Amino acid sequence: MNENANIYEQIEKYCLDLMDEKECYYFEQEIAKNPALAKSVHEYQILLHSFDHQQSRQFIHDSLSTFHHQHRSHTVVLFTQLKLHVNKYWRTASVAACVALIASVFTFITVRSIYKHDTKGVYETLRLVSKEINSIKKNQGDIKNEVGNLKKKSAAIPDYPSKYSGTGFALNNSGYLVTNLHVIDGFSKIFVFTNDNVGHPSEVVATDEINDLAILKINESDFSFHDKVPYSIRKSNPNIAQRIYSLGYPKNDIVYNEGYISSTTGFEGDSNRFQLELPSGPGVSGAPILDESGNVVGIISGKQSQTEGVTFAIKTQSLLSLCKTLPSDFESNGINTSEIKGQTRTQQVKKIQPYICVVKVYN
Amino acid sequence: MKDNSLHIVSDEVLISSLAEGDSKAIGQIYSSYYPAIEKMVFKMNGSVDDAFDIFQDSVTILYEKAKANNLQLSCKLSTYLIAIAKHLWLKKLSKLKKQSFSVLHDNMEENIRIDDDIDQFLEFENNVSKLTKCFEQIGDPCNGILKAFYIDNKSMQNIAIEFGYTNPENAKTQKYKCLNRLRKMFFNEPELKEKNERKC
Repeated sequence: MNENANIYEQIEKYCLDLMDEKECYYFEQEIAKNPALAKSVHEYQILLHSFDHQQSRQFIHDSLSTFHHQHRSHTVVLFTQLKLHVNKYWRTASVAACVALIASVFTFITVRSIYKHDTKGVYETLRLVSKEINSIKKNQGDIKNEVGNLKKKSAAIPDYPSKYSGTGFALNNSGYLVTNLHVIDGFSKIFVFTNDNVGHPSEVVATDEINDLAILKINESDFSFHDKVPYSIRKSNPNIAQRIYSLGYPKNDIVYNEGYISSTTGFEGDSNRFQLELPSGPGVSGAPILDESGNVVGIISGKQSQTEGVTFAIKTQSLLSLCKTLPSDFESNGINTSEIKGQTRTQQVKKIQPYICVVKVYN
Repeated sequence: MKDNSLHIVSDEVLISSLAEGDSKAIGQIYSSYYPAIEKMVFKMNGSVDDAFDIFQDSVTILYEKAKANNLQLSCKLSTYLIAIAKHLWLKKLSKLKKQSFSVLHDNMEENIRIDDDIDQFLEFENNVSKLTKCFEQIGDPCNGILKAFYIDNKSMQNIAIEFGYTNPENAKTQKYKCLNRLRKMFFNEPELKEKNERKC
């Protein structure tokens, strides 16, 4: 028994690095000779690591929980939780109203039974109770209004001018769009204007900082485009000299432009982007680049400041990998086949136009 | 440029104080990085609790690497933590929904190489839950002695007093016996698995 304990002690000493050089050397030779010992040592190491890990995780979890709880009790509810807040508000408000109503009816009945014979008294209490009910009604009305305002606040388009605007295009017909991250970065009030000039409140659902991409979702449960997205998103790399065109919003109305791919790499050899000979201006950030069969081959991201006509676009691979990170309610069935292949350019543009939107952000 | 170097210095200081278990450092990590990670998890369909769990796990990874002096950051600390949190959340999400989300590899994340950190962490987590099950079954006094020595870092002397051994040497012998029993349960006891499965 003692001998056993001795071996374990040695194993532990070895695992914890407490042996001196000579001891360590002999013990390692022993391990090399004896596979059973080697196995034991390995298993002890795993156990000791597990103990360590348990210690560390407990320490971090406990410390962070303290900060988290302190923080939670101080913070105001976040904008993203607004919806939750509204729901909570409703429940509390309706419970409170019910309790108040029951209480006042109860008071009314009791008081009436007490003052049965005193008509003047009945009149007095009746008036009082009715006043009470009125004030409850008024309170409830106030609460309703407040909740309504909260809802409106998140949905109404501000009446002041937008801070930035860019272009975005649909990824499916249920309200997912892509634009440049730089268009919306740092703003929470984002509105997507469809080509009928109706603004829809939207939220960011995925971003890719390196490739300057952001996927937005229109925050309206009943939103959808009229039909399936007509274009597809090409998976392969663009080819040099390929003719392309784009649709974007440098002004309030959609603008068509055409050009060609002049290089398969972007600014200073950036392999995630490519270079176009295509006029562009502020506002077209996020616009799609389409090839002759109506496939999206890139997303406009910027231009070279010195040279007129040189535009850079992000390759579609980055967009497709970003789409993969989206939650499962995102259906990408719209972007796999092009519906407009073989049609004339005018027909294509007419079909695509409704799926290109203006993205505006407000302070 | 100036801003950048400032970041590196404060990141380094922060990491070394974290390695020492300084609670101020943990507080700073919480206030500087939690909001961004919470926002990210919200965007990817998670709740506050999910976000906080993921954050705790990410900081645990950071702490263990910092403690082992094994953290060579090629990027800002915030980038590293966010990348870790994102990967952990995607892994958890694919487990929950029983469907796989391929993790987005952009250039930034390839440079950071966090896959190994995450795999190692998940293996440790797995071992710890196995360990917890073993502890449940090993019974007293082994349960108490092993926890006192390996997790609460108590000395053999104190353990001998607490568990009623005549001297630390006896307690030590008992501890090795217990550790050996634990090892057998942990590595090759098939009945352990069955029992636990029935429990669930």
